[in-house]
Amino acid sequence: MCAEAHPEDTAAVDIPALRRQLAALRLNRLYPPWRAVDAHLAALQIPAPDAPLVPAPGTAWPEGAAWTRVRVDHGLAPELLSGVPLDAARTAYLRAIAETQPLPDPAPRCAVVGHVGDRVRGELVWDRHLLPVPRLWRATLRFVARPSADLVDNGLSIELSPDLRARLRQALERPAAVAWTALEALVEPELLTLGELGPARPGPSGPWLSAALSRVGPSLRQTSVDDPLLGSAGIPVPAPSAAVRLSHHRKWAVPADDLPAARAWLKSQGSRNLVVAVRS
Amino acid sequence: MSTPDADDALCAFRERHLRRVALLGQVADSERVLEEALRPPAPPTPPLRVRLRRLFAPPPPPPDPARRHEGALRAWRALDFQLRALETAVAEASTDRGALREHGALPPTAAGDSWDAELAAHHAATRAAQARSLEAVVAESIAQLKDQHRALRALHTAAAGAVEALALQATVSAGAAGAVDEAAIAAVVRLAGECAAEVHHRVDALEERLRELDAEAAARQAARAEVEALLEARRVR
Repeated sequence: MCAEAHPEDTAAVDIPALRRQLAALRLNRLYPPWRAVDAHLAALQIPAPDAPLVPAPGTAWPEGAAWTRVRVDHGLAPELLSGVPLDAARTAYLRAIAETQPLPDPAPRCAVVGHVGDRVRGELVWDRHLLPVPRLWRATLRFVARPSADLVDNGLSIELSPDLRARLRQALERPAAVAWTALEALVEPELLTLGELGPARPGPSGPWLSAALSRVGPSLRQTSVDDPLLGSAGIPVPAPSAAVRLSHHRKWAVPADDLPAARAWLKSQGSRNLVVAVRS
Repeated sequence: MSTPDADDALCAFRERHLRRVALLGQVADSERVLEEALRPPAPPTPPLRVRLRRLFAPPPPPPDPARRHEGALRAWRALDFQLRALETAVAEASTDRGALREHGALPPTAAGDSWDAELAAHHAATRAAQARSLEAVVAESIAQLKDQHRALRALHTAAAGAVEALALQATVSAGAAGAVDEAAIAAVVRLAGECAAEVHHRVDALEERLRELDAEAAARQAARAEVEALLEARRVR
């Protein structure tokens, strides 16, 4: 666990601080799209009648029910506002939520990046927003496969059958090293990247937001894991005899006042994670 | 009260009542949506060659639990808003009923010697009768709104457990079976279907009453036209 948290740190969710830290993490295209996440956080700031914002247990993130509620109410707002008689508070809430842009539930995007003989080389990008947890991550898979009924080469894009898409989804929900083994039964993976945003942990001066990047493939030189949040359970790593290696690292954005405490805590965990200080 | 204002008031009462009847229909639809959201998806029947191939292949993966949870939560949240709308509708209908009772109880306008006074007296009597008829229908709709609110409250409470179970399933990682109580979800699905059927039946009954009211109003309009013609004929003579 992080450095000592004040009791009041877990009482409320500091969305403005989370949004500042999200921008400060400077997430690249291997992570979930940070602007879309920021828009969802902005929607979470709208006070909902009878639904106070509470943190997910042990974190400084809003609880999963709130993340899902925003997307659900945004979808319901047009039909409710068009004919259902509601009180002023609920009408104002629905009008405000209708103007927001919650995280979508995107379909995977699979592009053709080349050909290897009669096989196609593709890149699958799949944003997974598991809001009930909440868990936000992006899987980027570079692979080679033979076109088939389940995997159709359309020239610029690759169309995946629902069955193959479901199997890929199942595989990509696992830790990177385990996902690689599952993916080998479906395609010829070349490089898998899992970029995950969160969790946010309560800190003395505000939330500590983090993001982790896992990469697995034969092109990596060595297996390297540096994540103080893994704890004693650790993370599955490829066997030394395996043809692939794993790199798993986390980075942090913390309030500027907490920077010394964050560095001290990371050092005590034997971690060299990058820490960014964010001024409020 | 001048004639156009009184007629406009009756129209406004009638429009609000129609909107409340439409709300009952929307509630029934929301219950159906919840029923379908909680019902497990039926697997599609693939072609024979695909079924043969699958005999030698691993079983198909289960549908996305996160999507199922979100669909159920959406239907459940819609019920939540419908509950609030029913509360608002009951309060509004009670106010309208009181106002209609006052309109219906207005003392009859004394018919005067002039043609205009006779016409005004006739109009006032017609409006009072229409207000009394509409008051009876609104009173019946208040009872139905309250009954539906009670039933919806029970369904909402029962469905909360099912939605929570689906949320738990959605948070369990792939491969580890979520302990979802499908029997409890099935019970909520049955309850939602029964509530929706009951509401549809009541909405049909309300609409039938409103059709009777329309026929009544049409007969009164015809009688009013006849009286106006007679009065006009007397005036001309």
